[in-house]
Amino acid sequence: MKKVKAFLRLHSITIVLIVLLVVLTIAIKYFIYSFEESFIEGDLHRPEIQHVDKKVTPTQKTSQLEIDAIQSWMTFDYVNVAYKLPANYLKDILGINTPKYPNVRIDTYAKQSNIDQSLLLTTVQHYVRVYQNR
Amino acid sequence: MDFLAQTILPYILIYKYWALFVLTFLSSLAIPIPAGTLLIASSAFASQGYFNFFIILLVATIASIVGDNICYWVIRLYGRTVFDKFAFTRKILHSENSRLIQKKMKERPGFVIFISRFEAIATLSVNALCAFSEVSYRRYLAFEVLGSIGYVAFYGTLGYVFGDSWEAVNKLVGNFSIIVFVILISAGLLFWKRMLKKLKKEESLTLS
Repeated sequence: MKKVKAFLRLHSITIVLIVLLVVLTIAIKYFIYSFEESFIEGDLHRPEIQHVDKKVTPTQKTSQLEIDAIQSWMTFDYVNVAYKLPANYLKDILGINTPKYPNVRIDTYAKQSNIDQSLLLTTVQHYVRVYQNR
Repeated sequence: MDFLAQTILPYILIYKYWALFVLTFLSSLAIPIPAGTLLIASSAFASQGYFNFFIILLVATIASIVGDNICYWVIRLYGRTVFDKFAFTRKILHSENSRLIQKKMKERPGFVIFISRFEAIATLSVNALCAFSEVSYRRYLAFEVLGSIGYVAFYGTLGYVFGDSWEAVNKLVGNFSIIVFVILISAGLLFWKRMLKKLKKEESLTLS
């Protein structure tokens, strides 16, 4: 027992380094696995750069965001910009009357107006889809 | 991610650059805010046209530099007094190994300061080490600024390039930072081991 203790004390740093090496190997393995998984599932992709017509300059990007990606913590302002909606489109169509618009979270507005959060979110997604399919 | 989205990201969307500045600044002061994730998300929002990417980089860099410098000066001015008050910390601070590390840090702080900017815990530890070692402020500032620029540019570019898939990228970066952290600890231990060996050699030489 004493010998083991003495050995451990003498080589403590080496033992910790070996453990770290094992942890590092696992971490690298896991990193590669999650990288491959993200690629296979399509979570990891570069935003497409499209030049729709001549009016769009080469430096302008038109990102193809999925409408389902809209979440209740997002603000109306962000939704307007990210999905390229006119500033007052959602305000008019949803009858939003808070003076804080568009700088207000979707869920905060739902709470203030006593509207079901998920219902409001679905409605916002619906009208964004309607605008984009015009 | 849900917790982060629910708590921090809305502030970025509402208060924009001010929120980014304050949150990045606070994360430099050891408050557990995931500044890297924040930067990736903000840059992703910039790629969607919500922010100006260059202002994001500028604001995050300034906030990071200011936070790190305050951290450095607070520890440099009051660190020793606080550490000397408690037996455990006093013992660590005045140990032979600690003095050896401080000496080495004072001699060659550059690479360690630069690389530590990429990992939050490492940043704080190296800031403290630099302050305790009384590394020349000019040298500290030069490498700190370089490191902060590198860190902000790295995370910012990732978020901007990958845009709407930033959440997947953030997850990968999180996994990658574990690798960086383990490598940093291993490097530190290797350095420690080498130093101890050197010290023993010197001792045996003086004895003989």
